[in-house]
Order: sequence, then C-alpha cells, then structure tokens
Amino acid sequence: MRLVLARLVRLVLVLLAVTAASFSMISLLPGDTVDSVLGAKASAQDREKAREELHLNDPLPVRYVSWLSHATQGDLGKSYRTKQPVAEAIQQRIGLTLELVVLSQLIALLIATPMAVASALRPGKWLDQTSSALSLGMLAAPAYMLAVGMLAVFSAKLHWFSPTGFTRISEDVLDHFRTLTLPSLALALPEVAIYMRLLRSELINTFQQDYIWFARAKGLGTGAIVRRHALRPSSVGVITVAGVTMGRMIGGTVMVESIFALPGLGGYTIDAITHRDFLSLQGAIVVFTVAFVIINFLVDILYGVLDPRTRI
Amino acid sequence: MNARISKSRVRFFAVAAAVAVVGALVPACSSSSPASSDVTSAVADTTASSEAAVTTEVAAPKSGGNLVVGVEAEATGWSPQNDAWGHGGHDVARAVFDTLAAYDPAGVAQPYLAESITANADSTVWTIKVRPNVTFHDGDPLTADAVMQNFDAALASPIAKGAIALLSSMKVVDDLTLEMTMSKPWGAFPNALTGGFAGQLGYIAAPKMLASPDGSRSPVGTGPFVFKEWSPDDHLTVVRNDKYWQTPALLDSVEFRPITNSDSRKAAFASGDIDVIATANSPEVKSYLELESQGKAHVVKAPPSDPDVILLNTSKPPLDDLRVRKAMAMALDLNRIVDFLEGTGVKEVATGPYPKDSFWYSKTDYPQFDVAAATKLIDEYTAENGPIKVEYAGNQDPFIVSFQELIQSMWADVGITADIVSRAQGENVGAVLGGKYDVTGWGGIGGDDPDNDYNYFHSGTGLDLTKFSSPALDAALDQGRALSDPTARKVQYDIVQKELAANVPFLWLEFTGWTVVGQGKVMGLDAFTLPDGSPGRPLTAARFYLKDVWLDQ
Repeated sequence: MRLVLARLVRLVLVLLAVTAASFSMISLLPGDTVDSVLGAKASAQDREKAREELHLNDPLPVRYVSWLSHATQGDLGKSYRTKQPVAEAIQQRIGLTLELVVLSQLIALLIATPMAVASALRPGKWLDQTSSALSLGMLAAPAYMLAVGMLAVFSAKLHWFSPTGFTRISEDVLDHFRTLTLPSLALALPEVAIYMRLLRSELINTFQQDYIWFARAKGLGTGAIVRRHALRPSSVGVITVAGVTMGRMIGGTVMVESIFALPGLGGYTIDAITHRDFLSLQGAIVVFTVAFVIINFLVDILYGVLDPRTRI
Repeated sequence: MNARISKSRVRFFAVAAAVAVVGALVPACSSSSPASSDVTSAVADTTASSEAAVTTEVAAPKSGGNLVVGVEAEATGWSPQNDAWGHGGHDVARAVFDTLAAYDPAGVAQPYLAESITANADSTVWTIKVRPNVTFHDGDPLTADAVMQNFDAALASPIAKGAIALLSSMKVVDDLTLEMTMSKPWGAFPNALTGGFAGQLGYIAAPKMLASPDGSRSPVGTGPFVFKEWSPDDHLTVVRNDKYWQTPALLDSVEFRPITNSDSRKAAFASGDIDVIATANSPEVKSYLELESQGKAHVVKAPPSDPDVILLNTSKPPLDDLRVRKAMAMALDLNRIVDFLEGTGVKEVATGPYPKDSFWYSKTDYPQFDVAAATKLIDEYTAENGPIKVEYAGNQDPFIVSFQELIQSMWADVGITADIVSRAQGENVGAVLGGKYDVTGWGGIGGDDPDNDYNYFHSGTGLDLTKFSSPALDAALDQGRALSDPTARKVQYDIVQKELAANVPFLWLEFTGWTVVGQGKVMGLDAFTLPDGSPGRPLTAARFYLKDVWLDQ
C-alpha cells in the first residue's frame, strides 16, 4: 500500500513536471493556432478576437494554471479546431493505441524469446549468428520505414492485409486483428533485436550458474531447464527494458497510426502538433505520461513475481 | 486555400497524357464563352461537351452497393460556415448538402438547389428563389428563411464572412424567395454559391443543425445522402436519401475514409480497399491511365486549376523595383521547372493566373525566359543600388527545399542572391499574412472564375499579399465584379491580366491538374447532371459529386 501511495505521489509530480514542460515547449513552436483555426482569409480583427477568445494572449503561466485547474476536475478543455471535448476525443482513441502497443509488445516478446533461447543454447554457432544479424537488421529499421515497406509489399503488392482502415473488435474479431497485424509488426520488429540480445546474454549467464549444472546432473532435459529454471531469472532485464520501450512504442504509434490511417491517439497527437492545437496535444501528453508511469509501476510489481528477492 | 507550394502540390500535376487518352472522347470546350449571365434560364450547350474526361460506359446504371472514398484529410467538422474544408471535405459536403448553384460544363453557375437566382439591372439586388417541396433530412422544409439563416451564420463566422463581405441586408419576400442587397454591384455573385474556389457559401444546412452547438458533428442538409455516423480520423458514412428532391442516388451508402499519407492512400486503392481517390501527381496519374486502358480503372480529369505561384513583396526593396521583378520572371526556365516536377509533356506552364483553354485567359506580355535580358536588368539595378539579396521562404519539406534550390540557381544565373528560409507551414503563412517576407511560394490563386481572386489582386483587402497596387488594376477588378455579362467581364479581366503581366507582382509557374480515379467497377464519376437533366461540371479541382455514381458489380 505504501508503495502504491509513493508511486501515486511520484505520478502527480511527474505529471506536473511533464505538463508544465510540454506547455512551455508547445508555446515555443513557431506558427499561430489562429492560422489553423481561421485559415488565411480571416481579417486581422477576427484573428485578434479569436486570439482573445482562446486566451492565447494570456501569459503562459496563467494559461497553464487555468488549464491545470480545469484538468484536475477532469475537464481537459475543447479542441481549438474541432470544438470536440479533448477528454471525449481521447476516450474514443486511447483503446486502439493501447491495444496496438500491447499487441506490439507481445509480438516482440514472442519473436525474441525463442530466438534468444536458440542463440543462447549454442552461442557463436550459425543459428546464433543468423538471428543476431536478423535482429540487428530489425533494430536498424525504424518503425515508420518498416510500416511503409510492409504496406508496399503485403498490402499493395500481395493484398494479404488491408493497408488502411480499422475494424472494431465488436464488428469482426478476425478482421480486427487483421487490420492491426501490420501496424503491430512495424512497432514490434525494432524492439525484437533489443529483447533478443538482452535475453540471450542473460540466458548464457544463467546457463553458467551452479543450479543449472545441478539440474542437468539430475537428468532434466534442456527444454525443462530453460522453462523451469533459466527463463524466469533471465527475464528481469527484459522486463525492465520492456517498460522503457513502452514509451518508445507509444511514440512510434504517432507515425504508424498515421501511415495505416488508424484512428488512435498517435494520429490525434500528430494532428494536434500540426495545427498547434495546444489543448488537444496537452491532453494526449497527459494520457501518454500516465500510461507510461503506470506501465512502469506494473513492471516494478512484476519484478517481485519474477524474482522474489526484489519484493518490497 | 492558402498553401504555399507544398510537396503534394508540386508533385501533383495536370496530366496531358490524360488529355491524350480521353481528350479524343471529349471535345474540349472550356474556352467556349459562358453563354449567358441569365442564370435563371441558362442551359448548358450539351454539344459543347464536358471539361472533364468522359469514359465510355456500356452497362445500364445499377442501384445498390457501398462506395469507399479515400480522402486526403479529416475535416474539423461539417458546418459550411465554420469549418474550412479541403477537397475531401467538399466531397462529403456535396453528398450531404446541396449548393444553391452548380457549374455547367462551361463554368457558368446555374441554379441548383435554387430554382432561380436573378439580379436587378446593376447587380446590387439579388433574388434567390428556392425550389418548392424540398425537405432537409430532418423533415423540415427548405424555405427562404432557412437560406437566410445560412447566410446569417456565414456573416457571423470569421472564416466565411469575407466571402460575402458585400452583402448588406437580406429580406424574406415569401416562403421561397429571399432578396439580398449588396453594398456594391456584384455580377459574379452566383459563382460564390457553387461550393467552388469562392468558398462554402452555397452549401445550405438545416436550421436545426445551425442552431445546435454540436451541429457541425452531425450534418443535416438536403443532399442525395443522409449523414449516418462520423468516427473522426476513421470514417464518415452516409446512406442514400430516398426522399431526395431529384432522382435518388444509385449507391446505397458511401464511406469516406481520411487517409492523410499519400503512399497509404495509393496502397489502399491498389489493394482495392478504397474505390475512389483523387490525385494530381503526374506519375501516379500515368499509372492509373495504364490501369484504365486495361479496364481496371476510370480516370476523370478536372480542368486545370490554380497555378503554383511565387509571391513577390513589392513593398520592400529590391522588389519594389519593376526591373528586379521582371528579371526574376525572365530568369525562370519554366520548362526546366516542369521537367524537375516530372511533368514534361503533360503539364501546362503558367504565364498568368488562367490556363490557355480557360474562357478567362488573355495573352499578355508576361516576361519570357531570357537570361541575357534579365542579367542586363539586374546589372542596371545593381549599378545604382548595389547587389540584390532576397529571402526566399518556404516550408521545411525537403522536396520543397530542393525545388527552391532550383529556382535559387536560376536567379543566381542572372545575379540575384536568394537565401532560402525554411519555416514551419503555419509560421510562414503568418509571416506572409503579416507582410514579413520577400519571396515565397503560394497556391490557391487563379484557375477558375477571376472574381475568386479579387482579394488577392485588389489593393487594401488584407489578402493583397504582394502589396502591389495599381488604380487601373483595382478599377478593372471592381468592374469585373460588378458586371454580370461574361463577355463584358472578360474585357475587364483582360486588363487585370495585362496589368499583372506588366508589373509582375506574381511569378507564375505551372498549373495544378486534378484527377479523380475510380476502380473499374465505379461508374458515373463524370456524369453529374443539373436538375433540368443537362450536364453539369463533374469536377472542380478534386471535388466531385456522387449522386450519379454507381457500381457495376
């Protein structure tokens, strides 16, 4: 309970710091929100009026405190452009983005784990070298590049997957996952290399431990040793990194959602940046921050499960 | 549209190949004079043909099916008065709303939702009579009062009111008749009611939609399709309006999908995920023409629209000197520019705001490519004032920067130093509107009815971005706006084009040409008809109508 409270306090502090910093950074962006709201044909008077109505002439600290006081009551404001309440827009989009990130994480772990085990069992052999080369290739390709490549090959050329569009799970379960396959893969593949390399080196280390020799001496097979004795203690590092990569994956959704035309929070964020829609962007940042902190909190709890010695 | 030359704009061009393939099927007529200013009775000359390409269709129209349209951007909402739409937004709007007027093939505004649009002798009082027995999708009748509420909403909107600045008062004469008094003669007023480049004034929304705070999220009009649902950034769905005042549409429903990434849009079309897309990219259009020749696509070409243009801020030295502006124009090898844009042989260079086959085109003495003459002018200027250095602003897209570098090198050849300044799009727009620029790329000027360009060309409008002022130009623009007879208006716009050519506040580059492409099964994209059954203009840039579209499946 104490841990949860401490984490909550930390979450509040992180949120304050992040939102204040993002508010300052957003205000440094060149361009004018009013240009996006009114276009180029509005008169100077109308532009000034809009600026007043949107409180864009208020000093930055005043705008921040005003936003914060509303945000603490659950009111994230309304988009300058669409007039849609930011909380409502986020609510409509957050599910897809979280699902995309979780799915990507699972895919990355599912690919990386067998590759790491196979490599660690015979380090330096052809399988190890091949998987290392493959994983480094994946690491070198950013998610957006993979997304465009997969779009060209698997959608435009082979017609295996829909290149754009999104089917809700309530409409068609199979089609739902089909529409998420390529975006998830694009996000997952760059992380595979990291997980694979990390888990491989941890496993090699674990395989040198006395209790593994003891297990072998007892006659346990390799599979059983890996499953029962090696994988769990070797996974702590991967889990730590997974918490961190969640942040990168959330960042990756910004481009990937745009490329696959998915109605998630990533695309919403890019629109908000493009149009200087500060309140929308601020709302998205808050959600991303909360998600990131919560995920890392869950990772901390998972440590205890994987390694009882780390339980607090 | 106030975009500077953008990657999409620069890469997307008119395709002469399209003309070559489909031109044989369609006699070009855009140079034919708009025959009449009497928009009440004017009926298009059907033999004068369509400005859009016509594809041969053999099967009889069939009812049913769902059409998926990929659009380039999501809209902020669907209020004709308070949301500024891109081309895709207009496509949705044309499905849900009707406009008071629509273009005939010659580009003359004809009554559409209005039964008649008539003016008094000096075009200061306009009378709009709406069609009887038309109902909005919510069941309310279309009345003069409903139309007036739309204009009132436009007057209250900072986005829309500029388009109707001349309107001084309105009066409902009877249930179906609205009288509008202008502060100055405005002969070209019906043009503003088409949902074309003049703005969104012509779209008529239901009064209840206008009154609702969330009205812009649930559009209600009189159009051929009824709004069903909108999931922003995902899709918007409309279904057939079986009580439409014209023959109901053939499609059961239409889904509009915003796909902002052009590669994704292309892939979605290639995979059959979407049925219709619009593009102005020459290589892309060539590939679609190839598909069309195999019977796998239908390509419909719009008349060339607004040219890419470079604005020169004539209020600042050295651009306040005509010799420098002329030299900058003479230094530009337009054919090389077109070649750079992969448009050789398919793209029309621009020496003025209107393409050669436009009724409004005038031959002028716009400076031709001549490096020696340009160098001489620059030498003269530098001998008196020292070296010439200007800032050439653009956005941060690498393609735009490389395009700027090409222009920069041409100016360098005649002795002009242009420093490329790359800014965020919004920042550059703000700088140009504030007059804080020397030279920059722009779009949205020219291409269609010249009255659309009044604010860009006339001094003191706030949108006179080049700050160029000439009494002769202003007078011609005012006359052109006041007159309603196209031939008389053309005389005035001849003067406008000659004044612009002689004073060079704008450097014209090349015309944008939009093309709408449908899968092989998509028929009727080129078949838009006016209420009297005569052909209308199916495309204005990338904006098309869906009421006559059907699926051959």
